[in-house]
Amino acid sequence: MGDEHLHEHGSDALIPYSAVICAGHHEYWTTEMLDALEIYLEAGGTFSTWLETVLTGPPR
Amino acid sequence: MDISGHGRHGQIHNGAARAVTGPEWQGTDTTIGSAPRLYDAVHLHDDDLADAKWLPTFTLSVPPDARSGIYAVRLSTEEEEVALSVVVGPSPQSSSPVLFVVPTLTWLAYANFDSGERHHIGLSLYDSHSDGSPNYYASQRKPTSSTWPDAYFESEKTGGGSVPQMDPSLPGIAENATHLVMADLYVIHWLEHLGI
Repeated sequence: MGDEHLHEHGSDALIPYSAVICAGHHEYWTTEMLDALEIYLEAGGTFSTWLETVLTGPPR
Repeated sequence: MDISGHGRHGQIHNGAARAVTGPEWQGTDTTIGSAPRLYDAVHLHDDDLADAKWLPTFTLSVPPDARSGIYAVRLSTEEEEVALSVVVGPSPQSSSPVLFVVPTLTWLAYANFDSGERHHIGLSLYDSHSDGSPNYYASQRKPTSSTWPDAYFESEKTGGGSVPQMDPSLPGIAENATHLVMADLYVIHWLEHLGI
């Protein structure tokens, strides 16, 4: 899935997945994308970004 | 819009820099809506390009059962070939537990990075216009050579610039292919290798 899909569909695009991975060089986030990720993490999702740091939400 | 009453309306093409701050702008207002009087100008450049306005020459329908991933559409003439990256997302019925989000906005931000003599194809967010001022806009609607799946960026040690690269045995690829499309292809390849 590309950034545009996440921007357009928000957290609905993330909720079906146990884990979301962003890797490489992922440094342009729209407000809608960040909101989607926040909702996903609050719902218990796990997010991993491998650029320099790893952030994880509570396991579900 | 000409508000003098003379009706000399104009139209801006090619994505000129809007909301250029004036001398009274102090950095406390960061959007034009909060203090429009502090924003004075439009900055035109001879290499602005936000929308090349090309008409579609072909369309591609992705089969509903296509596997998600990064694909390439290869366009060729007798003289040259370009490969355009296309991200196919997961089917709504996907049962995979892991989602990989491809940083396509970052691809676009860096597209044509350090394009040098290629100002006519549009600039990345890290390039300067021909007058030395920074470029503010990235766009899907322009040629984006460095989002080719078989291009990688030279490391910063060597000063940047994009180099077509297809042979993984060539020296330097390990440190050079750590960015954007190439890096994402490697990560996806690795995840698939692990069976994720």
